[in-house]
Amino acid sequence: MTRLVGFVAGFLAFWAAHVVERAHWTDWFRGEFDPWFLNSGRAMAATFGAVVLASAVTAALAGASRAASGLVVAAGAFTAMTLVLFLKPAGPGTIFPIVMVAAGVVLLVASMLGAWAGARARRLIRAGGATG
Amino acid sequence: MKAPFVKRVAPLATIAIVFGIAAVRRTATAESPRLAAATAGTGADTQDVRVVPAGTRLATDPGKKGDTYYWIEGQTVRSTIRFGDLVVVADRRGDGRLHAKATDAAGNDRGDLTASSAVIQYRSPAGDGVDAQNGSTVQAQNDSRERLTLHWVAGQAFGLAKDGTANLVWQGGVMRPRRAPKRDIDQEADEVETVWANGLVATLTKHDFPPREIAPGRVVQGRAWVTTLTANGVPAGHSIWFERDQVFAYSLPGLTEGLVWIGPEHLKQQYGGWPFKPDVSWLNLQTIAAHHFRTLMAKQGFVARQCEPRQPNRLAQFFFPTLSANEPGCDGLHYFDGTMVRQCCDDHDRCYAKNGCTWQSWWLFWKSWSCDFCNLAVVSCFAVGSDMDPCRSRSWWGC
Repeated sequence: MTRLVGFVAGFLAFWAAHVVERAHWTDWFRGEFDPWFLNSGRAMAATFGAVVLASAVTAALAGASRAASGLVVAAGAFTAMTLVLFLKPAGPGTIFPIVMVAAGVVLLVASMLGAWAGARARRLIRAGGATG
Repeated sequence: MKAPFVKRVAPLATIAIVFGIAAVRRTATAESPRLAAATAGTGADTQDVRVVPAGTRLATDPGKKGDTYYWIEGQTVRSTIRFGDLVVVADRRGDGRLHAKATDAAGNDRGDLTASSAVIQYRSPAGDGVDAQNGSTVQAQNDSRERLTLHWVAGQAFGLAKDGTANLVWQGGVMRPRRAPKRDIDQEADEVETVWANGLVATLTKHDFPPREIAPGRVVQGRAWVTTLTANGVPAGHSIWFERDQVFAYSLPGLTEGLVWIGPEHLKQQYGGWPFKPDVSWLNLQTIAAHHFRTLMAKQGFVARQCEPRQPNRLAQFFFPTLSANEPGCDGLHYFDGTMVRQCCDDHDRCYAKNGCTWQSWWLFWKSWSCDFCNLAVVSCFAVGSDMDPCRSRSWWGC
């Protein structure tokens, strides 16, 4: 159950970030090509932040190990990313395997960072509760 | 004390006043004829300024090519026109003159023309020039009254190479032998390649198409001129002109939505139809101009940007093959376009375009290794920055 929650959280985090990027592609994210998080530095930061947040919240609430929590969230985000990549109007592009690897690395780093932060927060909360 | 001072100053003042009056009268006398002539409007070198009230739309001749056309044409580096057994290459000289060289299919010299706004020089390889002083070279005043373009010099060189230089006359802005038939360059040209600035190259070829519906209820068919545009070797768009139906259409993926078309019905109200006769160079330059200006607008944001290019519609897919590389730079990784990986992506796009690959043929080694080698090259380039573009090894892959 915990894994499913993490997967869904990662999926929704990426999807939500993409929806926002599509809606404000030219004004907020200053995108020039099709809306896609690796086509704009701001969009990349927004997606990274969304996945970090989702992973941190999942890790803080679910209590799974850091690595397991981070990997599950990354898997969810990667699935959403793959769907978006192949379904966007411009198509996946001529170097899509490289794009998938690059996107996967970004999402994995974000989710692991979030899981680490979430686990730290959970420990601090527990320590605070025990002393309190 | 006071009287001697007045006595000394009064003569000097009188002399000064007399000289002053004389100088003023002389100046006035000298200027008066000019002023009079200018006022009357009868001077030989003067002309009334025709003032146009603010907001008035100037009536220009729509049948004449405008400044924008010549601005675009002026940036053409080279124009190559193939006429059956003759090839004419026109280019610009460093001193502003235009030059065209004609060769036959075997590469043999068939003539050489250099033109400026004042003089035209034509050297015929056979030595059939009519100029008694220069033997095989004809030198003539440029009385064509046409603006110098690469298309014009190429057509002129072609005509002289085909018809010779005996008894030359001017007709319709073109120099030709008195008894030679009038030539239609646009009909005789088989292929036109226009090399422009910024890596844009437009290549026009001629095709015959069966009846097709370009838009609901609008059928086009027959002989058409098709221009293929590439940017740095990568396909960037197409345009087409149907001779019989007088329909012009173009598609620039990423810059236009599907196919944009213009028929005589669109121009009837304002001009009564096409106001000018499109020629083969116009089609290439029009395609280049559309790409150039739309790219500028997309980059500078003067108009709404086209961020989600739609797939070409059925007609475009019928006329034009599916694009192999749809965007310059790194598709899906455009944030890194400004880094060293950009070259990897451009090489990969070129490799894909030349081998007819698409994203769907990333790993089809059972059909051909060409696309896979493009992919291996780009992966290697991303990984270690090595340069192993297979398209640079022509002997291997025949790119």
